[in-house]
Amino acid sequence: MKVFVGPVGSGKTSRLLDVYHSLIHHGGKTEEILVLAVNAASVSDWRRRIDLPVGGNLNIFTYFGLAQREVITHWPKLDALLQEGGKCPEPVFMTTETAHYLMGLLVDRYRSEGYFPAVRATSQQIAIQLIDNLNQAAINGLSLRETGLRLGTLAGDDRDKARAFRDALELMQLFRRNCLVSRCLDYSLTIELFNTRLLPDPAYVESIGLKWKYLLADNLEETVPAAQDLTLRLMDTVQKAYLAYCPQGGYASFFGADTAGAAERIVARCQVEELTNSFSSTPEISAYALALAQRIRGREAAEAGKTNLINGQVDTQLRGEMLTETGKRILELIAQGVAPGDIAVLAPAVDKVMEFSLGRCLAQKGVPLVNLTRGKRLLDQPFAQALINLALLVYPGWRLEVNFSGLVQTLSLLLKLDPVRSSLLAESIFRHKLELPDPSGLRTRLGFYNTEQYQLLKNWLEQRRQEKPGLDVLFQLAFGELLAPLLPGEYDLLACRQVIDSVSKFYKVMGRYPVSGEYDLDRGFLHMVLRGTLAAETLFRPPDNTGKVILATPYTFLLSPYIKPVKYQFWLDVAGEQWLRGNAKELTNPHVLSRHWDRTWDDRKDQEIRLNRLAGMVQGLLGKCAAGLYTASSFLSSRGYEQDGQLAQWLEEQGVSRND
Amino acid sequence: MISLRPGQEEVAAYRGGLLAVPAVPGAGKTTVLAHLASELIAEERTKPGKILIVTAMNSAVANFRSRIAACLEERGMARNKGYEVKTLHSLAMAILKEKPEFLLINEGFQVLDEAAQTEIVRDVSARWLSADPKRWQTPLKRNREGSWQQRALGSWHERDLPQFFKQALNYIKTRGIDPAGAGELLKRLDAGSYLAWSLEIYLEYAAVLRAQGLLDFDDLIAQAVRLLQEDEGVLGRLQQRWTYIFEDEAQDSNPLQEKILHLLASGRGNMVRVGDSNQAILGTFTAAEPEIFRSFCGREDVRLQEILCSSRSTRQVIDLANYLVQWTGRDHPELKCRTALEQQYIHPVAEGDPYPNPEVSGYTLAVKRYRSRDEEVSGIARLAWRQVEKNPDYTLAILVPTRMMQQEISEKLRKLGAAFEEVGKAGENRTGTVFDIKTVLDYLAQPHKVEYLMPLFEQVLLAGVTEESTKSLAQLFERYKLEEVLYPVGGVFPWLDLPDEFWQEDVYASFVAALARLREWLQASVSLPPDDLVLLLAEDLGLAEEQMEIANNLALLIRQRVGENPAWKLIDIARDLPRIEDSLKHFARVVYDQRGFTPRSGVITLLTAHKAKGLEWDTVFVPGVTSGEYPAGTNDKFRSDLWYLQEDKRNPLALMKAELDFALGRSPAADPVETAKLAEISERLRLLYVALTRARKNLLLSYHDLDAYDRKQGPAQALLALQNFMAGEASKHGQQA
Repeated sequence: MKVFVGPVGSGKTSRLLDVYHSLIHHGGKTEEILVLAVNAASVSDWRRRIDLPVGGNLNIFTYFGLAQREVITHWPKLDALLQEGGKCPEPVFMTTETAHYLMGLLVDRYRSEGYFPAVRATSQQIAIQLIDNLNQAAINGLSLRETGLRLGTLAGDDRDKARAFRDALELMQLFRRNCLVSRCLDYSLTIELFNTRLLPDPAYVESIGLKWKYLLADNLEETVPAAQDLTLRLMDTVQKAYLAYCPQGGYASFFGADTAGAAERIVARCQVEELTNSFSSTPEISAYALALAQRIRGREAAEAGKTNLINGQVDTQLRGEMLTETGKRILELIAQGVAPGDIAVLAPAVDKVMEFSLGRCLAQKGVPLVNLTRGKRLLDQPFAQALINLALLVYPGWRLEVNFSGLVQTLSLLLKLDPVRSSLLAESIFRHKLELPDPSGLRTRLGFYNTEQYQLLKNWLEQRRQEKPGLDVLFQLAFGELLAPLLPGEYDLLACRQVIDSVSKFYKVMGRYPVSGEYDLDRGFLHMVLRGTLAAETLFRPPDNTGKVILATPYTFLLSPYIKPVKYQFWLDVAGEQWLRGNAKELTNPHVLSRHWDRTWDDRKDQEIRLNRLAGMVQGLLGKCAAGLYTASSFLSSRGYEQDGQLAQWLEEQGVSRND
Repeated sequence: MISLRPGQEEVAAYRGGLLAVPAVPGAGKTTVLAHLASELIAEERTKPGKILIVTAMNSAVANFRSRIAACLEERGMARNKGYEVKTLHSLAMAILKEKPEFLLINEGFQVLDEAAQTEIVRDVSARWLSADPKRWQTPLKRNREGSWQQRALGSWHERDLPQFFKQALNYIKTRGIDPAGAGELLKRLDAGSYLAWSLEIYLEYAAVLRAQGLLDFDDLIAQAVRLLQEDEGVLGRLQQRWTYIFEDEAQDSNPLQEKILHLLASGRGNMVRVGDSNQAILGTFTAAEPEIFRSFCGREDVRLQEILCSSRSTRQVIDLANYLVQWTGRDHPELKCRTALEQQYIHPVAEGDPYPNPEVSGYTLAVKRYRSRDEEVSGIARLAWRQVEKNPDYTLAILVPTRMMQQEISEKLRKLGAAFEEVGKAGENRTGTVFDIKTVLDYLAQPHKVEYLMPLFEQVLLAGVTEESTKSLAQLFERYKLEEVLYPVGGVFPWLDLPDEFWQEDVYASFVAALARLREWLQASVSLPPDDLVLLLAEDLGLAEEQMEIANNLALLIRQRVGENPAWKLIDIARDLPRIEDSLKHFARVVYDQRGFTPRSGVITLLTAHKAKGLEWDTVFVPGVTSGEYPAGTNDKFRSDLWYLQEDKRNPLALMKAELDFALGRSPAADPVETAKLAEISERLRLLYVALTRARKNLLLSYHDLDAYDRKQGPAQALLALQNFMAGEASKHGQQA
């Protein structure tokens, strides 16, 4: 059992890959090697970097991916063990979005009956936290009852909070029961079944012992306790295990990552090989990073770290000025010969304005910028929107509102029609209450050719109205007959696929999941989409970032293996409070649900977690920074509030002075 | 190094503890506080924390920052270390952001600006009003004729009731009543009481805000107080972070604001509060209570240090202001209002002071009478205009009593072609600003409608082109359909039929360019989400600096609205623009206020007297000093009296406040309506005091005899007194006032 321990950029993953290749070289088979990676992006990174002369089945999984696969493989046994509900030949897995949507329906319904009276949050925000609680419970091996008890301690003698946590638990239990009865497995239930039903079974453990001889596990510091339980089990059964661990990590602590647990339970059992060389940073930067981290944690910072690493600071009155000024500095660097791909702009909250302003500023000199954060809405994608609008036109009886501007966009896309005539046509359709007007009255204004085109679309829609296909079929037809001929680009195709895949997944779940009252599947799906539940990125590959200036959150930057270390980093909004975010929310608290909870939760603990997280984060970031750091802040936030955030202050104290 | 005057010196010697500093207008409190702050920082007394300076207005934030930075720089220190300057709202925001979840508030909470809040109150009131119309019609006077009835009903239910509800919400909240408490109170109340109505609205309103994760400004402050009270950890950390607290404009403090500052200062006990009770002018609009500062000054554990010297004005102006104080205390016809102004007199600075009081030749204060309001408005506008033309080196302001009069004078000045600016309205409603985007979006949302296209051409695309060409543009669109001009079939436009004006070279070129630009925008409108579209337009319109910042904010506001209503698209945003626009104006004010405001010589400043605090001009005009605007007795007309309500129901706000006091077990005033009137009389006196102490050298007070409906007005009592005094003074100079 061996573990490579080292900071970001010390080559841990590369060492594990070497091990992998050497195992194969010495006669090992890919089927015998289990690789556990931290997220889907890492899985693909592994797949990409494994270079084998002959093919074989690669066993590279995330923990959840593995759990899911094992649950499917052993389903009949699991099904028989479950008391609730009838037997089912196979389970259905729920996507996170569907889980959020279904929990959102519950919250909506119960809220209208007076639940969560003192909680100031939207139903969607509440629903997400309840799902988070279920997930936290599962990865820490807590029963729902225990989860409720623990959260309940947060209330103290505050009646409002006690009520809120009671309501939360009740809805979590209800959701869980619905999932069990219908055999629709969300993330939490999948983990729970794997952990409490499969893993304790000696026969199962024996079977995995026979299957895998070697275990390679990357990023132990970002793993959840349940994944660590599995790793420990595997360490007992495999011949050799090679692991990697970064002590400063734990960026995924909100998702339950247990860095300390990994050290105590796993690293302690292994032979440790320390990797101290950094391939992506310099000793000077590492020393600075350490000193800054110490200052953040409230300890006296080492004087050695007080060298002036910071190459430049932007400090402005307005936020827009900060962005423009940052853009200028980036262009200066590029003028000095730095490659765009060697620059990363990092901010805890990347918004539209940031992306747009920086992007336009760089574009003036032909420098590309790529935004690697998620946040695009599927409804904003013209092709995806066209599918939805077509469905709404085919089923006017559902009384879901067709949006005028949306319809203008769709008509303009489908008929290749200018916006003015599209708008005329849309208005005419609205005036006819979604009955498609007769083209003859439109010919003078639309023009002959356009009217012909409209007639074709009208025929198509009317035919569908008669056939009344399900949404899955309708989307397929619409795509094949109307959208594909428009020669969609890569992202248009992906967006269509996202809609088509979503509806079929949704069908699977909703075909079983109990919803109160009359519920039409197709209408339900559109309702979900119009609520904005569907994000654009679920299926999207991360955009290609080679040769481009990167715009990302620190979290994405650190946990995405496809983002390589850079030479220069720009930290934006360092005077904002967002850098120091905590994990706790009003209805969820990862620490209290963790295995490290010592029955206390107070401001001191909360601060300790926040500061540790930030300290680890700055060290991680600077571990992927080889030449220099720029910081940027504005006195007024984008909302017009004065900001005096602490990171700016710590940066100042660590050998840097801001100038007005 | 600055030289300090008596009073300032003692304040600058402060090193710890509680200190109250009553300061007269022009006492140089910013100067002395900035000096003091830099000393405390230089002596490292602030360690391990910083000084927190809380100001009332954004403009004061900028002023404090630059003054302290200058003091620190003079000492060779970093300009921005050791202090934070915040408005109360920013302070509350900073506190709450520490840990909203502790109060069951989602971290993504949004703060409603006033416009958005008004909208929600309006919605909630509308539901309430339609639920049981009989109830709210009860207080109306009875048996009046039909048209009277119509007018009364309209005013009551469309304007005054929603307005009352908004003020009531504010008051109820700053009294610290939460929805649970409101529910309890409600059970004990009669259904006809104004308080019961207000509480019902409050409960409904609070539920809406909760369900959407929203807070209004009052909530923001109330929740910040709660967090400090309920989580010692947060309080302890913040006490460590802010080791000294300075409060500016302390006379405008409200109970919750005082609570926050006391909690923060309770650790080390270092707090300096500077204010002028005679400038407390926010009580009737907000929950501000001048009593708070007065009683702080009187506390045994508080050291009191007045600053009474001021070099701002001539002796003539100082004497007049002091006379107003004296007259109020000694001769005000309403006995109960004689305490309206603290007997605190302004002293000119000593001889030899590096900044002496200004001097003038002759007596330069006067009162002017106009026959009607209209005449006054035009007369004052013209006078101001001529003054500025004659004395281009002087700064000049017109301080109006109401926004209505501001608007009227503004129009007159515009017609005269006078150079003027309106404080707090920077960058609003002019072409070449972010508000052009609204015109563009209005059209792009319904691009087939020519009625939206015309304003777009006139105000944005062809702004600056002659009026005739605009007319011929209208002809063009009468002759051709929109789509024929913008997207002619086959790409060919029948150019020969163009109106004649279009054949002028420059007109033609700009028209063709405008069409090209418009087509680009149209294309963007069908391919981009609305927030992206706004950013693109802002750039294309060449907005920069503050205007760009406001456009950025517009994009974020749109994003937020789309987040709240996921199915929304351009058309919905366009329909929502009036509301968003109000929010945007609020943001614009914040951004422009941050630049601070410095009156420019040769340009008339037009503003309400309320906004004039902290500012000064060489010449000040104060129109509208009438008995209506500045009542003197409880029998006078009051703006808070609603004419169409029964005698005992006339002042809903005062009655509601009294009911609330009673319900909370505080003994309410014997006659709440009378008390409210007395408070209003007093506050208007202080407003007059603020207005006239803005003048450095010249002051003109004016009034009119007949109002807009030809009803009798005449000068305010206080003005008559001042006029007498001025006549006496003027005669000393051998002049007439």
